[in-house]
Amino acid sequence: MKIQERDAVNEILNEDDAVSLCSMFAGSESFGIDTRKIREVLGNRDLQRVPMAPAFIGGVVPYRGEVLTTVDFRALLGMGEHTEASCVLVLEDGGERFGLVVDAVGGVVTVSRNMLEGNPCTLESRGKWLFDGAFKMEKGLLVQLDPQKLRPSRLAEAGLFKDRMNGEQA
Amino acid sequence: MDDLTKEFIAESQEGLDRMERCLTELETRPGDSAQLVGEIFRAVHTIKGTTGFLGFERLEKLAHAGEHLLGSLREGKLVVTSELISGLLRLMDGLRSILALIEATGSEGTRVGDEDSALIAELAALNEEGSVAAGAGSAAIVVGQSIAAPAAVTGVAALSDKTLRIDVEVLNRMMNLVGELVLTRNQMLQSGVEATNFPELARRLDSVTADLRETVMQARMQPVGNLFGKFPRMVRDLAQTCGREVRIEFSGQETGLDKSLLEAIKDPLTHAVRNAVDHGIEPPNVRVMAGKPSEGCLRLRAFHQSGSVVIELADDGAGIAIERVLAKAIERGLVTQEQAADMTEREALQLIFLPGFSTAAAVTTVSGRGVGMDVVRANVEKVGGSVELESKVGVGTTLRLRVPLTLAIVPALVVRSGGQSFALPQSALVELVYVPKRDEEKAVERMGTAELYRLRERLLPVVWLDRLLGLETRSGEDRHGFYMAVLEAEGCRYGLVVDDLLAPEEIVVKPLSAVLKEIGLFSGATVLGSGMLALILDIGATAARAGVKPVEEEVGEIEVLDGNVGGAEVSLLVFEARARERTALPLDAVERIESVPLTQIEYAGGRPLLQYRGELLPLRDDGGVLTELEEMQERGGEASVTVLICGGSGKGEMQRTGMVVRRVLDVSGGTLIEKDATSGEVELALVKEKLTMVHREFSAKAAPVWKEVA
Repeated sequence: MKIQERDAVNEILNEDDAVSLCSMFAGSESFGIDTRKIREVLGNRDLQRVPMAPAFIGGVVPYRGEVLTTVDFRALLGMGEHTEASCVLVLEDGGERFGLVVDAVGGVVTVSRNMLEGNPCTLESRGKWLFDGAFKMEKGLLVQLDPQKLRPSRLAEAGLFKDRMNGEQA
Repeated sequence: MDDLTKEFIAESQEGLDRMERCLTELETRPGDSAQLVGEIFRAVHTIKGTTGFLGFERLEKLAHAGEHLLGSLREGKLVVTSELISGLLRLMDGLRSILALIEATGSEGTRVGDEDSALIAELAALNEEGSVAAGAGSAAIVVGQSIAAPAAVTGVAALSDKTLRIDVEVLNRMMNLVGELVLTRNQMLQSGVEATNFPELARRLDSVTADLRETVMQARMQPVGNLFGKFPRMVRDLAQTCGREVRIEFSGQETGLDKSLLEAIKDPLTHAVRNAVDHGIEPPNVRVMAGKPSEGCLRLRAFHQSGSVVIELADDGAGIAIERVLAKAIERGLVTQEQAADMTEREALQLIFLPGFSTAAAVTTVSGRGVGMDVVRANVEKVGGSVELESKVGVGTTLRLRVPLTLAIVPALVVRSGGQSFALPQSALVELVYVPKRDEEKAVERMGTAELYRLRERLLPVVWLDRLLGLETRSGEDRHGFYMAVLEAEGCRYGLVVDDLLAPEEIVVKPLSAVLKEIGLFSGATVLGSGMLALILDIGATAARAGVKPVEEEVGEIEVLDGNVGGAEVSLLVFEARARERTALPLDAVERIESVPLTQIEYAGGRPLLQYRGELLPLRDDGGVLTELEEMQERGGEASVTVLICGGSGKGEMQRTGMVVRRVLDVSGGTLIEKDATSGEVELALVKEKLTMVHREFSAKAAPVWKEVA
């Protein structure tokens, strides 16, 4: 008990270690992305589908005079389509700006980098690509995502997500 | 590199560009050299002055030698000779290469220093030799000091390609408009949607946006003269290498074109000019034998035509020999012997645009390596333009590049298919066909798996957009029939079936991300007035995806007619005015077809009139349709009358007229056969083998327009 308390104190003292993650949900799992990589949370938007596009493309949405390509996170995880309202996040990393469609966005959580656990070796290849370890939270695991790996161009190159993978994880 | 040096490089490059133009001009008109020499002197002098200050010694030395020579020229000690011009051009090249070195490395370098001394010696030699030769009688040349510098120029080097010079006034106007925009936004935010003045605010926003758009476009517009400016030197050098005598003439340099488009056509045009000098214009002795002046002429013309800019390159050279083109094409395996035998002249000329084609008898250093016109066409088509070629053996060749005014905004038709909106560029749209539900079954005919539609007795391949894109097709009940957009792109003509048509809109093209571009079917996306996004369909790529192949024969057929009857083939709007008689008007003469309720037709002095858009149109009723309809109306029943709005359009003096017709039958090409002796204004024509009367009184005005197109 005492040790844990000290951990919490350490976390606050050492600011370099602290990461603030924006939490988001897809299905029953929760995920986190570094807030510095998030430009804006657009909320529920009408997405224009793009015919013949790869399955992981959620569609396009107008954003500040540009046409933003969005990545459907549920499709990446191989889940079926979400029936209720979804939420669009605008991510910017390495010059490429794109959208990420998730079920809902939660609050911002500050966690210590020390608490990050690496990907388990039993994770299948798509999971290994998408996930960047997990934080052990009280309510369950918060899986960290790397925006670099979520870029539509990288996903297309990776070739792991060409087809829908129904029923693998859902 | 510091800002000062950067600025210096950009400025010097502009100066050198100016110098280049002046030099070539000086050679052609040595008579009025004062102003030109002044201009050149100033360019070199500025470089010399600034360079000493920045500490580029090598550059300074060269510039100094040049300035010395130019000084003598300015004082009238020298006469303009071809050698002198060549020397000065070499000086300019020397200065340019040093500038390029500075731009690339930040220093002027010393390794190639030796070259300069040779050049400097040459310049000095020119100076001495000239001053001896110069006649004392040549009047002293006074150089005017207040010569306005030419307008902003795009430089050759990378640095100036990325920057753009804008008139400060345009920038100020832009700033004002942005201020206005912010003000309007503030007012809108404060008053809210319910406010009484909201419509007024929205209107103001509309006008401010339109003005702003126009101003920004204007800022991007560059005169094509900037591009033309590079050619005199190039043509001069090329002509010397190839042993030709060539003069280049310009017109329409002030025609504005979007900067990005100007960049895009730079290479194709350069290539075309090179071709014209090397292949087009014959050597002087051959020209004299053919009874032409030994000096060939190259004409570059830029002008506006129906929303696009046309850049025309005409030479008075040998022209393209069709037999040689065909022989070459067969040799290269591009066409078979039989195909070649059936080809029309026009078709054969098109072969030049095929990859791997070059007619030059010998490969020269200048051109003729088999990459050529196909690249020209590809580059121009990439920016939404087109290329036309005309050639007459012994008379010359004309190449026309047609490019849109701007890339950013294009007129488009928005359609719906499978519950989604798509935009079709108007430039590819030929016509629209509506097929009502009851005709749906028999409208589309099948041949194996291919679906075809009979459009005026021609079979048109049908492509269903929803099926092609894998969208859900609409279920049977709520269908009301379908629309077919007849599209033409890259030589393919096909009917694209869509569920619905929305309004035509001027759309702002937004690029798509790389992943979506890879699909290859969409050239961009746009935000519609409703706030929805629509994907812009790439017409050519869609055709290719659906397997539609370019159809050459159809084009050929028209050309044959065109060639035989000498332009008598015209597009006609065929209608019925008198019962059982087919009458037609030239399509260009008809502005609109209106359906007007009979009650709106008024009479004055026994003549029927129609109030149309604030104008009073006299109506012509040859067939007595109005009387018939009135009788019908008296018996009860709403009647409306079809009126063709003809003529007018501001150009001609002729007033607009309305032509009352029973029904409109068709739009079709027809061949005029003879003038009807009984009435001067009516001619007879054959339209699809049926006798048709053609009213020609409207065509007098339209004729010059056709000529321009032809």
